[in-house]
Amino acid sequence: MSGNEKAWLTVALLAVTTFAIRAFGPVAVGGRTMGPRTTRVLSLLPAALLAALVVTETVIQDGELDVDARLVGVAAAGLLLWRGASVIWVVVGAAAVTAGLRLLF
Amino acid sequence: MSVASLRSSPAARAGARDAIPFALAGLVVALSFGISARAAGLPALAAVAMSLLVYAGSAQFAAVAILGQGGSVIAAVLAAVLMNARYIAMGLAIGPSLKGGRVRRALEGQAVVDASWALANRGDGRFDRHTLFGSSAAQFVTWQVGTILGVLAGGILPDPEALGIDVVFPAFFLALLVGELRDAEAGAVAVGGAIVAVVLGLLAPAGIGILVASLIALVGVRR
Repeated sequence: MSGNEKAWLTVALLAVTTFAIRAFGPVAVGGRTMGPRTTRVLSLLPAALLAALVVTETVIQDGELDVDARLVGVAAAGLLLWRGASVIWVVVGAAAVTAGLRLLF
Repeated sequence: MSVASLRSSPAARAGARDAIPFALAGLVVALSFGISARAAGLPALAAVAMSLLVYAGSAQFAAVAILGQGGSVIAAVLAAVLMNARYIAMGLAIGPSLKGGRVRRALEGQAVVDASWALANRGDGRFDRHTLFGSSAAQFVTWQVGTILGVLAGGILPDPEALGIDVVFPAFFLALLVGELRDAEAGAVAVGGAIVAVVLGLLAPAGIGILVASLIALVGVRR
């Protein structure tokens, strides 16, 4: 299989699986309402998922711990958020700090 | 529900408006995706088609990274599915707030992306579906535009990492996370999820740690 064929096959399979995964939850629960405990668990889910995504994308590279300019960049993003900056400046600021560090070191 | 009725929905318009900073940031994230896809050797058109048909940042990044390292289609798709597995949890959460029969629910569920889902979350276990649709629509547009610009820039830029392109994605998710930290328990869950994800990220294939980290939310059962 050529590189191009692999790329297009991946696109097709990702489109199908992502559609199915996004459809699964809403179809499975239907219109049932949840009890207070389930509701509490579900309202806590994003905190766990988003924190997991942030740290893995910041300090893990190819299955290994890799502390580099990325960590400083994301820390800068945290500082900007704490100062009440808009998300667009948070993202641009993080990239700028990371780029600056890579330029210097 | 027609597009016209959505357009006249105050919640959908408010959702789109609230999503503007996220949509602009998403433009930068999509830009970085387009650049990464070209750097990984993906045909420009395939990268654009992926953003159009998949519209799931972390899965797209994961699949492209694996293809770029010479990995198989199976490995790329599996990594993307694991990344997307959180949408099962998110879909279960938002399910009761969507409308209609199975087909309509399946279609409405396609509007779930991380930022739109988080913005639609009212914090009491219910979700506002018009906010979901409005914010998802705004982000869909910039996701496509950003990918096209990134694919074009990817052919020109010598070293995308020199621009700090790779922190755009985690910085974006950090902004979403901060909005979720409503109380001390949510903060504790975030710390727990982060620890689990890092430990499993070192021991298990990509994506597994993120899925297992979501189990930390089960502390909410105590209430």
